[in-house]
Amino acid sequence: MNQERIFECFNNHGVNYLLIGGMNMLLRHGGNLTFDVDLWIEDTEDNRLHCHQALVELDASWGKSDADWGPVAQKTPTWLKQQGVVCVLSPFGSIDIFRSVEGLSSWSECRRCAVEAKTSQGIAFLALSDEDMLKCQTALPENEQKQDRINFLRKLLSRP
Amino acid sequence: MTHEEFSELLHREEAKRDRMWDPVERWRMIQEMIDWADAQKPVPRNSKEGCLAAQRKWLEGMHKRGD
Repeated sequence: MNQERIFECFNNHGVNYLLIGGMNMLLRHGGNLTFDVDLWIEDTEDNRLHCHQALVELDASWGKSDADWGPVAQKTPTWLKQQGVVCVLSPFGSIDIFRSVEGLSSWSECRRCAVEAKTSQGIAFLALSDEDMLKCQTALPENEQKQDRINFLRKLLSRP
Repeated sequence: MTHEEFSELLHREEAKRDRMWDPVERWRMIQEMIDWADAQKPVPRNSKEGCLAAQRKWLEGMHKRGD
């Protein structure tokens, strides 16, 4: 998996995104190993188009069904509008693209509190803040919450 | 979309992607992921410093048990 390449490509294409989920925890707090990159994109027509272009450059593939699976380059650029979340494959790793995130109301509001971080190789990425990470975890039904993540974030945020 | 519907969609999406993934390619990515995650640590496990630190920790444990 090459997260740097994914961030770099999304940055170069000017996609408005926030890194969420396990990779955000892993990169900023050394959490558990995770095998995909979860990105929450600003849900506008322009931004979906930028996101599509970035995914084309990453040689990503997706399909509405198994039979329809294929390179996103061969899909109409509006394919991202079909559903609230898409899980794509790419030679650089699996990427989940979210158009909305439960428990969080507005992308732009979360963008204001986002953390500007860098990977060890110096590639910049925008990450959802710890406060918002906690909000979206606690918004889930109890049986889907990641208790270790909630406890970790609560402890971190209660520090003076 | 309700939480249940969204959750079901996400699971369906992940399962579909898994079916489309070449097993050899998947294994390669998991291995790369482990190496990459290790390289993000201030002291990577797969480094001289990492090995010495791990060795120290094991040895301390052994001393405590009286080995």
